[in-house]
Amino acid sequence: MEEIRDVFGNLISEIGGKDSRIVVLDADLGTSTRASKFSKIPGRFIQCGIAEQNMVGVSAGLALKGFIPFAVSFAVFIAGRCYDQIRVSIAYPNLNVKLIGSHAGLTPGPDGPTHQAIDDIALMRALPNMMVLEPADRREMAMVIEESIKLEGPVYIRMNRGSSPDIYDNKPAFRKINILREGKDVALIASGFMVHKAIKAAKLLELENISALIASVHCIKPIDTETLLDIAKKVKFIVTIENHSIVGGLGSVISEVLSEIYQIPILKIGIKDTFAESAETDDLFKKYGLTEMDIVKKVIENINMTQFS
Amino acid sequence: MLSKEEKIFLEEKAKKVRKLIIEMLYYAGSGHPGGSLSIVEILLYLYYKEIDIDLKDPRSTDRSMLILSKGHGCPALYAVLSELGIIDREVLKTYKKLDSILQGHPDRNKTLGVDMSTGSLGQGLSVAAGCALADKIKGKSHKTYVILGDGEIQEGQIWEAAIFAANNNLDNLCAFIDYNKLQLTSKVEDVFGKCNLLSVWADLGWQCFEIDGHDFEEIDMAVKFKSEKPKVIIAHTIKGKGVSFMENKIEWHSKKISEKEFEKAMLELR
Repeated sequence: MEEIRDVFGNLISEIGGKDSRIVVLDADLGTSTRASKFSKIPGRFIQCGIAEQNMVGVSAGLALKGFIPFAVSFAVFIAGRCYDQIRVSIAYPNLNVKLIGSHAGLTPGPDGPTHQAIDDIALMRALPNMMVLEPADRREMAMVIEESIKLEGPVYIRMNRGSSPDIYDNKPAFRKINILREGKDVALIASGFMVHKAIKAAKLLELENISALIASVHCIKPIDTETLLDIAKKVKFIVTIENHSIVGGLGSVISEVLSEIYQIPILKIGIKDTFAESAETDDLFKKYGLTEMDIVKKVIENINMTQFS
Repeated sequence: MLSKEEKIFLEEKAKKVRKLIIEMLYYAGSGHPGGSLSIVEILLYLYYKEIDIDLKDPRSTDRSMLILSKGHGCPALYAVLSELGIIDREVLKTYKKLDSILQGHPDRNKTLGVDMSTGSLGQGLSVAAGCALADKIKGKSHKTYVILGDGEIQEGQIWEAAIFAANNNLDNLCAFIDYNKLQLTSKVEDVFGKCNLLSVWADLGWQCFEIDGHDFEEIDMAVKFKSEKPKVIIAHTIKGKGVSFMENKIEWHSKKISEKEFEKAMLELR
């Protein structure tokens, strides 16, 4: 199965071959992030070495001169290490830089907490002017790359390591919360790597006669409030599911938005304000409560609670 | 070589710009006099001799550019842009006030003529390297200038950028170090050590110059020197230059100017 980072590497090289505005910057992780695919394009692949803060600044300079830079590294190093560079040299001047953070959430598994970005969405969405995207499968990935090139302004794109099964048959709608399946008891609202787990969970819930709506949120900021409200009106409660800390991520976004316009319980599945550890990714998802069974359990535990009825 | 007339013209401008800086800081009630007064000649030289801003389209980046990485020195930049006719003289009085186009640190979107937003130290050299690289890729002959503080180069990102620029042969990049030897709380050498800046930058692959940063002829010679490497001009300057009681005084890095001090300073700058 083609991973979304492969989609990124192949697609950006294909588009960059024709569009001379595209430049790709790597900080010595290109073979892992697939940014190296772009190195076949002469003069527009920029190897910055192990110096991410400079890479982000160089991207800002290239954007000032009219290029569309894609600065690529692990999500921890983009959003965490370069936070102030992104804040002052990209978000504040509102420059047209696309930041790609790979190996999101627990997906770098064995590398351990130093490499697991559990806070990158929280950081990036706090920045004015910044769009925050997290594609769930290869179609969403292709869409966010193509659309972010059309947009003038800073964009953060988060991508995971490992295979992401297809969730769409057709092209998803950009910036929209895409409803993959309708339901009336609970809405499972997920992003990125967690969407296919939500789909599996919904199938298991069906066996328990629980009807679950599934929605994929590739655009975390700005959030599609209209669809979110529609979803909230259809179900009894919402479970948000993310490969990120429950502090400041998708669950927080949805709670923030709905708390001002609609009364509905929102439960969160995500990393519970803790650093994880080194292990195979699947084992981490089990230990830290991010499997489809955790979703099922959360729904069943809460579906009959009186305050929700 | 600068002609005699050019030199006299620039020296007159320097006096005027220093007055504008003191006025701006006095009206604002706060700001950074020391590090603004030390970069006046560098800025004037660059804007009158090297950077050809199209007054009808100051936002265009298809030209040589300046990034004031030590963004707190922006009163000097605003004063020079005002002399060029890009910022209205009256607007200078609104510096740092509510709804002003003149922010406490440079804002490229609010202020026409400001090429890059800066303020968090250490970031401008990377951005300048990006601009220089962009011009190289496009085959343009523009130059990118950046002004760094001598305290600012304590930031690690500066050294990432220094290595990057040399390794990418950015001979169209020119960095000035405003070497006034003082920072907010101490002498620069107290925290940076007594390292030889020239040899450090030279070892990294830069073409280095050491000049008097208040001497237009020396600035001119260093800028004009043809080099196949990125260029760093270590400009010996005086913090607070032009106002006797501010010169070489650590406390004038950032200090409110009283009415008495304002009058005294303006008298000296007449």
